[in-house]
Amino acid sequence: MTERIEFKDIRHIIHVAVILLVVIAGFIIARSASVPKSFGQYGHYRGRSIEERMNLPVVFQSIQTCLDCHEEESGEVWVGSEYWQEGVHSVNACENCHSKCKEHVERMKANPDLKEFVITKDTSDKLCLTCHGILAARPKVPEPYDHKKHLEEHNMKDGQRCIECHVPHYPAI
Amino acid sequence: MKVSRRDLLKRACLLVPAGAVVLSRRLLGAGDKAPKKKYSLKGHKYTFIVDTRKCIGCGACVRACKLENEVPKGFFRTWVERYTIGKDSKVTVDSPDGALHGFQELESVPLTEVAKAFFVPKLCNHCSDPPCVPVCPVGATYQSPDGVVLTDPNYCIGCAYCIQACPYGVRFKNPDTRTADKCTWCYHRITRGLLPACVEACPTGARQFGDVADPDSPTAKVLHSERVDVLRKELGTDPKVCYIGLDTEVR
Amino acid sequence: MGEMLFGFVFPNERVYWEIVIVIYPFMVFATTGSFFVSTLYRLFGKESLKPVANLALLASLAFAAFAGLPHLFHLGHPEGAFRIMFTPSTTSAMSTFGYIYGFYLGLVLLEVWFVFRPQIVEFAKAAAGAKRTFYSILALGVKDITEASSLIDRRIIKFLAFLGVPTACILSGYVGFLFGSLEAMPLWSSPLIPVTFLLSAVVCGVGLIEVLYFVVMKAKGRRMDARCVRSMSVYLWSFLVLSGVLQLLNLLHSTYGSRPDWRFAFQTLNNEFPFMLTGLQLIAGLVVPFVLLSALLLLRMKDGLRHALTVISSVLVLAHVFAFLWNLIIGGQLASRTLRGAVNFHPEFFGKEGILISAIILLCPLIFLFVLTKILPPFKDKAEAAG
Repeated sequence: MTERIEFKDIRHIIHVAVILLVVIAGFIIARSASVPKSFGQYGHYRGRSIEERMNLPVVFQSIQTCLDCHEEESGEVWVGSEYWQEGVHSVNACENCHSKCKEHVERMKANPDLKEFVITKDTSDKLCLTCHGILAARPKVPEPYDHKKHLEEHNMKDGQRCIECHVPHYPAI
Repeated sequence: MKVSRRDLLKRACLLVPAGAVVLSRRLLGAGDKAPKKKYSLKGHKYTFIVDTRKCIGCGACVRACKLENEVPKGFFRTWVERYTIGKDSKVTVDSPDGALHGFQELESVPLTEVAKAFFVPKLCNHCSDPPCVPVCPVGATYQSPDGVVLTDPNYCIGCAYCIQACPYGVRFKNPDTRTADKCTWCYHRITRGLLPACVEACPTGARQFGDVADPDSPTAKVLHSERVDVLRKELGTDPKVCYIGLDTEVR
Repeated sequence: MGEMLFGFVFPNERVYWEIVIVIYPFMVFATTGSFFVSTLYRLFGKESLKPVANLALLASLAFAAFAGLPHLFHLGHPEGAFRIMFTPSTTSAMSTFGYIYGFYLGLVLLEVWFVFRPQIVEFAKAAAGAKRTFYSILALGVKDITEASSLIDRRIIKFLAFLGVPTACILSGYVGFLFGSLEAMPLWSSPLIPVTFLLSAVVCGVGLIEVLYFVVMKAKGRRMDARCVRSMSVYLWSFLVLSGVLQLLNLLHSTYGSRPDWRFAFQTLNNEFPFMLTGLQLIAGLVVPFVLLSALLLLRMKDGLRHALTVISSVLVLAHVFAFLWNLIIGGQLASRTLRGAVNFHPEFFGKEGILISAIILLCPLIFLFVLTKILPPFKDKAEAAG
């Protein structure tokens, strides 16, 4: 390589280099344009994502939400009554038996005079037995029941439903 | 049926010492009455305790979770498993539809042949050293400063690498969003001072959740008085879901 | 997506990585292996491989260009694919792969351009009209080749090939690491997997170039160069032995290991894919080509028979590599983390990640290669090609 390298010998390499630089510059520009602003705020992720996660709506209501409005209502075994409070089902979330009540809560809070009865309840034996039926794996608290045997013991007719004897808000009766 | 309702009520009151449970749950879940204080990301040590001895396999947690988080059909952020060990030492494990509708009596093992049986609720362990986080190529799954492992559905590209990396099988590819999905401990609830939906729904207290940074919290008290274990400790993932009454058959 | 096959599996478990993810490492193997074949001549001076060196280089570019495509079909959000490179996680094998792949693709592209520059310039000068414009653009507007410039080009070609060898090794090995680093998957989690991948890539590349060479020569009605074919069969034999031994070592190591999850996973694989594992990966893909290649290396036979046996071995070896990936990737996902059951896998035909799409993806680089050989003929003159 004693001869001198002239411009025309490396012109094609310069062209290649320019194209490479353009590609790399394009990549850097595209990158800076598309990386979210909050990326890296706390770590290698979008910081805003935490906020987005926090702001998701609460759907399943706590017992307290129901109590906020229904505590004062009449009825011996109404939710919030001393019977209800002392009964085993006061630890059972309302929506385990009643239907989803998010919309009801929101509408009633916005307009307390509204009279609507949109909350339904599942009063089937099947629902009772998801907790109270006999299963080998089930611990003895709460006491499991063989529905048929239980009816025989209490001289009830076959096909009598749980709800006909027991009050779900105070199931000891 | 001559006994009056009121008499029966009074008698039953003595028999049912449920008051204490009610009180502790009220303290935990302050509900909407909680003061709207700005949530701080620092200084938390959330712990989830699963007391398998209390789980009755009703599936209320699974239903509540589905409702709360719009979990698509066939996938689960939490589920309940049933372990049935026969008198012949044969182990049968099942979780029909994740226990979404509870359990039926196991047909293959008659009641008289069961040596022991129990339920084990499962959910994301929110590992302190999560194997799913470092594998994410884009930073769409992360451990938040308060120690909760979260996914970012708006940034996830749906490569499923994290799903492969999770040794507990808690992650899934959500067919609706086409991104990785999993239990967040109901992050939107706990940061508002509420309990995760599954804990709220559990009627027996088999699921407990709290911040053990406060040594007086009910969760810390349980953690400090009971003997607990975690799932697959040998992996070194350091889960933050602690189990009471775990069996060697549970993986 | 599958469901429970037997026993108990965690309810979220599925085969999340389907056939397109089998295709993806296969294409990486094809490109890096072909590149290796071309460097054997260009860097290591294996003159016997000269007839296929340019074809191998073009094949390497064709497969490199499409190696990212299977991934796009697999992703839930392909529009976000660039996030892998925009916000790469340094701890993720997948995002590092993005950069290595990008670097490799650029490198192969440059290598092809420098190697074919004299031809491009020649066409640009000789042709007229649209063809002239096309080749002028390809030449990047520089139409003169001086003595000094070709000397520089030759050095650049050498340097790129030199840089390309470790890059290709890292690329194919890295795909292995992508699987091997997952502790949760017993069949994948092994430090030997990257090395196994590296050797499989070479085997795949040699086999592929042999088959392509056969097809191109058949199409052109010419005979294959005997010395070249013999040289390729030596390479194929050597790397097949290395690759096979390493796979068996990996198997032995794990068999004698104490991981119960590995034993369960392997048993499941063995039960579910007996044909793929024993039939294709072991017997048809490894033992048969080993015997055939050994025979044609040891025994005297006519060139025609020798060529036929080499081509047959090459096809079988390609099937072996595919079966290896299939068993590892699909098979590795069958066993449940519960160690009490397995998930089912029904390959979809028309699905986004199904058989049809996979076949189309595999055809893309072949079609592209066909186009490339039209633009940049890898066999310049008949006299040279014939030997």
